[in-house]
Amino acid sequence: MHKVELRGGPDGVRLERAAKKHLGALREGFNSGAAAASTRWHLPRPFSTGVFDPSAVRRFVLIRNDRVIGTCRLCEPLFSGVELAIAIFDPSERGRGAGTFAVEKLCEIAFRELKTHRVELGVYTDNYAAVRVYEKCGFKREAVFRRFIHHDGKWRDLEWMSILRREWRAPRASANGGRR
Amino acid sequence: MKTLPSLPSTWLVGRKTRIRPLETRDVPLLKRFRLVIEPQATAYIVQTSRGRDIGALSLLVNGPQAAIALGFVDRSRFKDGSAADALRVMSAGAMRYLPLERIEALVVASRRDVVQAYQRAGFKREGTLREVVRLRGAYRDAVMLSRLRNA
Repeated sequence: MHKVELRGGPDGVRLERAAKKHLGALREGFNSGAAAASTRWHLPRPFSTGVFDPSAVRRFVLIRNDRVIGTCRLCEPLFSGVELAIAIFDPSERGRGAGTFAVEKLCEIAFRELKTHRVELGVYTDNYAAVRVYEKCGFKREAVFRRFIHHDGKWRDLEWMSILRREWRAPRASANGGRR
Repeated sequence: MKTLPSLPSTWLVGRKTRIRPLETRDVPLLKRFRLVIEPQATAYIVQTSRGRDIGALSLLVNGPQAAIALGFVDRSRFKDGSAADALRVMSAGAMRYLPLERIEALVVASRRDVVQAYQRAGFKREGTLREVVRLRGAYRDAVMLSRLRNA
C-alpha cells in the first residue's frame, strides 16, 4: 500500500495519526469554542466517545512546532465515497496554509490509501475562507442543502462539495516537500 | 397525557391519487413497485381515485428531517400528474402530522420525469451530487430535492 507522507506543510506544519496522547489537546481545542461557529462539532462531545468521532476511518491531528493546532478526519460518507472534516482551533493559525495542506493530504490518503472514488464534505455557506480552501484543492460545489443543520438556535444551510478521483491532481514528489 | 406525534395512519386524499397505510397483504405489491424501503422507513400504497393500486411511497423520518421516495410500475404515472399529486399530498400530510423542518429526496439525475414530478409537487432542486448512486455497476449522479416547512 502506498504510504502518504504526513510531513512537509508550510512553516513546519505536519499531520499525525490521532492517538491517546492528543486527547487532552483536542478536548481543550474543541472546548475553547474557536471552531464552534464553523464546524458541526459545536456541541460538547459525550464522554462515551470522547473527542474522537467513532465513525471516522482515519483521524489526524494538525501539529505545528509540537503544538496541536487542529484536527481532521475521513469518515463514513453521507452519500458516497468518504467524507472529510477539519477544524483548526487557534484563530491565529488560520489563513497560513495549514488547512490547505491538511485537505490536500487527506485527499491523497483517500484516493491512494483508501482507494475511494469520491471525497465529499459539508461546509456552512458563510464560511468563505473554508470554501476558498476547498476550491483551491479541487473541490466543486454541488448543492446547497437548505436548513439542513440546527446550529446555535437556528437552522443553517450547508454547502455540499466534492472531488472525484478523475478530477484529483496527484501531487508530484518534489524537493519542496510536496507543496505546490 | 401527551402523546408523541406520529405518522398519519389515515388515508391521505389528493386530487388524482389517494395514499393509504401499508397492510401485511400489501407486501407482494411493494416488490412489484420496485421501491427499496429502508428498515426504519414507513411505507404507503398509492392508489388512483378509483381505488387501483399504482405505486408505493416511503417516508424515512430522522428527527426534524425526513426522506421521501416513490416507486411506480408504470413510468407514465410520473408524467400525468399522479406522482406529483401523491408527493404533494404525502409531504403536506407529513408536515402537518410531524414536527418536520425539511423533507428531502435523492433522485437519479437521468430520470428527468421523476425530478420534474418532485418539482411539480413543490420540491426545490438543491443541486446535483456527482457519482453518488451505484446502479448496474457504475456510479450515477443524483439530484437532491427538498421541501421546507415555511416555503
